[in-house]
Amino acid sequence: MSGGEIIRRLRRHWQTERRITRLATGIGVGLLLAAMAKGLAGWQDGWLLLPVLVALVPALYWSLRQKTSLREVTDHLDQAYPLLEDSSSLLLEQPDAGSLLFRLQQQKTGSALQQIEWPKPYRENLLLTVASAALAFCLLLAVPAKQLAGGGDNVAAVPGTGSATSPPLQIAGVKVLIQAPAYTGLPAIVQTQLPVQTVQGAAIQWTLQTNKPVQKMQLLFNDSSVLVLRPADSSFTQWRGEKKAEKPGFYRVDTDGLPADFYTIEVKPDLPPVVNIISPEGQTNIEAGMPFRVAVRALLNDDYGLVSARLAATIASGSGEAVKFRNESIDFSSIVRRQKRVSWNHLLDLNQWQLKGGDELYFYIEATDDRGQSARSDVCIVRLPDTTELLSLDGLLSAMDIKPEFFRSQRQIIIETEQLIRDRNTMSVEAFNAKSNELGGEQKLLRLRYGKFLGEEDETQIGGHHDHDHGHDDDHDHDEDEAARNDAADFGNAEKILSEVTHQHDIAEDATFFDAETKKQLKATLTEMWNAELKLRVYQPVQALPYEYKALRLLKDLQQQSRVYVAKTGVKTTPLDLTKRGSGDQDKIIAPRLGYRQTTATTAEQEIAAGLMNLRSMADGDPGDLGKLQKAAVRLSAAAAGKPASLLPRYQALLRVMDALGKQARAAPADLEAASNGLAELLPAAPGLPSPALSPAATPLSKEYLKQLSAIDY
Amino acid sequence: MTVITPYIILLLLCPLFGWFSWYEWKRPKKKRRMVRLAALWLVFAGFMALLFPPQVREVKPRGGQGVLITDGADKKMLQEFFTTLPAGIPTYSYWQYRYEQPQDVDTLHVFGYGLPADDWRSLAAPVIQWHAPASPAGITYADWERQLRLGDRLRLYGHYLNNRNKPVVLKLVWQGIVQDSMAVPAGADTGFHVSAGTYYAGANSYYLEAVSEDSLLAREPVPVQVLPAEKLRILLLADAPGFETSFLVNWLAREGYPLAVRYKLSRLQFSQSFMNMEPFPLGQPGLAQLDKFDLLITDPLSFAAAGAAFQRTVKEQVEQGGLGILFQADSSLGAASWHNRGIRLSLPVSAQGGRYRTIAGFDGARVLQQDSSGVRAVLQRAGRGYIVFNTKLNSYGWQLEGNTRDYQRFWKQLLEAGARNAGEPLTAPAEPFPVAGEQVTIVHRPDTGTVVNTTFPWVQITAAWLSSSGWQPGGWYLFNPGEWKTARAVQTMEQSRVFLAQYAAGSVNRLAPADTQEHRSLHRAWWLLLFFLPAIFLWMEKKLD
Repeated sequence: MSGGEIIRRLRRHWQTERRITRLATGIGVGLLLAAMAKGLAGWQDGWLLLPVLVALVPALYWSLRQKTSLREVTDHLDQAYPLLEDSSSLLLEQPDAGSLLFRLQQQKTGSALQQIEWPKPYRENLLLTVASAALAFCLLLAVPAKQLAGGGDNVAAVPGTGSATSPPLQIAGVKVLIQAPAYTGLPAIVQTQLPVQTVQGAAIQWTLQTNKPVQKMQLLFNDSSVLVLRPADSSFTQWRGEKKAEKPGFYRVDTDGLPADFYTIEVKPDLPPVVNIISPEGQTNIEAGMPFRVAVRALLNDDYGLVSARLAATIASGSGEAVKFRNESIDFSSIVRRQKRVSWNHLLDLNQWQLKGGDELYFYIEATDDRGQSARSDVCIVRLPDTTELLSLDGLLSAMDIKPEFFRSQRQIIIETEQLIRDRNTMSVEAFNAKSNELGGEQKLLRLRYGKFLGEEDETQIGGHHDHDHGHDDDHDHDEDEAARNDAADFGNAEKILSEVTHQHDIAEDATFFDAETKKQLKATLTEMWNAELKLRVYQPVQALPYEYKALRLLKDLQQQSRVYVAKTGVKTTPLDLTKRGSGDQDKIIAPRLGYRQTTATTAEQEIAAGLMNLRSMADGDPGDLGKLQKAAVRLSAAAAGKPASLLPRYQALLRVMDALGKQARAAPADLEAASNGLAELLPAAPGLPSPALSPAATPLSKEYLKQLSAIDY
Repeated sequence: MTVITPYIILLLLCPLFGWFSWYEWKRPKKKRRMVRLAALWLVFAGFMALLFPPQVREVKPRGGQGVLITDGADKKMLQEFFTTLPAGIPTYSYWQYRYEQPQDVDTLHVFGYGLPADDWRSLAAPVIQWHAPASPAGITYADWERQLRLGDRLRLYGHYLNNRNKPVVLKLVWQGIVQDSMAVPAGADTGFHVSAGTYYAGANSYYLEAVSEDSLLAREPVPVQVLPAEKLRILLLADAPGFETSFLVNWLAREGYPLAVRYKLSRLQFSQSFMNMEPFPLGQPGLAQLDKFDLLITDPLSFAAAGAAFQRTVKEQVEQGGLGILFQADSSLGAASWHNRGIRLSLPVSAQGGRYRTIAGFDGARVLQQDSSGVRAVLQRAGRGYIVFNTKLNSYGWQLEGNTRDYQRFWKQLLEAGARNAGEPLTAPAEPFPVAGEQVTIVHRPDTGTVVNTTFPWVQITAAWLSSSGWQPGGWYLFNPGEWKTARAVQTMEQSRVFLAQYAAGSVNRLAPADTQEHRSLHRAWWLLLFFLPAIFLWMEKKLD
């Protein structure tokens, strides 16, 4: 091999080594960057190639750009080997190109080059670089990924799940799939965090990955329910389970019996629809002559959309015992379907339901949402007054036994009074007055007849003075007796005076069977009759007419009331020992003495207050009472299930306080404060019950003051 | 040289000069004897004066000015003030001024909020000029009951000066929970009132927070000692059970109150009920039995029918023992007597489906309940006890309606007003905001009859300087110096204003200005002359002879 070939071969070797060195440098740097990304940012798997590639590309470019020239080789040889006499470059020339001296020197240098060992100036760099790259690769493998609370399937452990062994058991990945009910229209969510926030009815699927196989994994919920996760792979490192979120709460991840921290489940409830009837009013009367139509306007709201809605109506026809009911409805589901907010306007034509005068319509609007929750509006009442009722005789004719036929008289008196008023201009004054007086007499007779039901047997009384002639004749006509009773011979007759001012009936029911309310109304009727009679007697039929109408109305009301009837029942009483009556002997009577003692169980408020006081005293440096705190913790736990977002951190703080107390360590002030605030949130204000005043009962000063005051002679 | 040395020397020299005097008196030559004696004593005086030169008082001219800087001094005001004065005006803090007692300060200029009245009195300056700053903004006044019973409401009244252009919300907070709040409009100087319930017995710390938008302007502690709720012991005597009494008895018994009830069945027969207490014979209660109760509930007619002896017993128990009486006055108050003096019922009024009376006359009594028809309940003092007259006898209607809140509130007021007091002897600071590191006047009212001082017998007053803030052993709270600063500053300003007004009017005692005269000795030459001139005279006079 000639010297020139040796030099060219050396150039190729050196160039290859230098290129490999540059590539290895780039790979090493890339591996170092990857190790940093893994350790500091938690990058995993394929992502780690990114920094390697980022470093490799410039290195490759740099490597390809590297060119080793023959001149570099000869220079290096000349510097490294004096034996070559700085003439190695001559070997690259053609042997017959120069002079004799040139050829001699070329030959001499060629033979010298044959004798030397080929130099490897870049070999050491190459080895070092490759070794460094290998070291960087080892570092990449060795460095642990950063622990993330949900950073993808390969995120690091959830605190508290690891055991003391190395490496600790950790949840390496979390995937929570939340599928809201379809009707909500909400998309499915995949999250890598354990706290869950969703809507009611959502299906939650947990997929948890551990860094090493575990035997058992389950979720412990606040309501003591347990969701046992099933292994999703053969290596027992991936576990999966599903649950429906119906109510808020919190849960813990239990891995091989090692429960982790608490995580909230916040559930936004699906509220039932809200239905409000804007019009008509709660009670509406359709006046006579007005069309039988009602404008209905209603607002219907739901948080996710309505499914159906209908107007349900009940029509009551007839009166008294003859009332009949029938139901009607209008379905307007098609209008509200899938709508969240609907304003429904509808003109309700009552004729379509054959409503007539005197009928009543009750209606409400009912709406249902996707969850099957329904809500109703308030009931609206629409009345169609019966204008013919007042003057009808139906009620009067179908009266009870106690209603005599002269109930008609009041109506007759009204008709005749109206006729009298109409005829006023065509009659003489005397005739007018006589007719008016006659009607007054009729009114009096009617009043007296009704007065019989009140036990009034005298026209001079309206429920007041009673005549005590115990004949109780049906006609009750005792006018002629009055003069006789006022005889002067009776002057000083004590019995007569007593009989005048006392009531000698032995029962207080005034010989009637009416209840107090009926009697009161009867009495009011009689008062109106009396007023009507008064006006008729003084020839003022126009003024009498309102009283007559009022009396008639009261009578008709009375008629309606009388339909309610409750039969009397007999009462058995203990037979009286008549020998003891009036003796005044009370020796055998034992004065009753009763005792009562209120016992109250410990209430939740007391337990919470005790726990709170305990925490406050712990904050002041006193030792705590674990028993009291445990009772309070039970209450706080129950409350935290309902409001996990606000109360769960406080509950956890209370647990930490209890944990510290159990270890006889000092609880953190922040935990004490948070736990106190959590308990305080549950504690209602104490009821304001009467208590003795706080000023001292009797101080020497007040005693002396009173003494001095008493000594003053006013 | 001590103070007594001149007197010792004088005592020693007196016999010597006495002997000289005797010698002069007995000298054979009688001429100018008296003059020589006088000269001798002048020599003596001169000698003593040389040894102990007497001092004379000299009035030192004043007219100097000084500046006293207290908390809240406005820098700008001070700078402006100093530009008007010559340089070198001394500046003092309060304690510095008290310690140094500068003699040449004739006019003392005080800057800042001023001083408490006692501190003003200790200043020695003939003329005091207070350069009052503007009133500080914030919570300028606040007051509340420091002790409450469990179930009572904490009511905090105060005043807020809002000098911002945004509204400020005042929040009363307990354990991080806002109990009540009130908005103070921008630029307003207004009173406020917030309240909160009590939750548990013990030391409670509420906080009054002033918040403007999201910034917390102030957070002041509102310490309250909540005492456990105590049950009143009640005796109810009535001729017959009625709706009102039955509902009341049931309610009190359910709430666990010790309650003895006696209804009259016949002339000799009574129905007795004992709720939450041990039964005992309840015939005609005597003094000892009445002493077991805090309140007697009865009606005037039953009380009158109980007999004179019973009435006397009750009177003694009320006036001396503090027992309360609650009269359920339905129709009449009975004959005028000690228990119904000044009380007069109205004629029956018909309203709201019933007939009832109101209290038409209540001389010397305090109105407890009033409605549209008139006064329904009054409270009258009788010795150490109280008597309540109540004509509202249909409060059970609230119970029937399910309105227990109003029922509870109504009877809480009536029963508490009449019942015997049961508070503990009180130990509390006299200052509204006692502060650690400052003087605190602690007032204690013991329940023993020990006479501690003559000004306020049975009251112990102690001045203390306490270093640790927070709850103190007596159940009261010591604030940090940084707490309630604005309110305390305003209070100090008010005290300063009052004191200086009194000071200007000359109606206030304070420490007199220090003596402005100084003692100065005459020159020794004078005493030498006094010594030598008579001595020379004596010598010369002898030589002349």
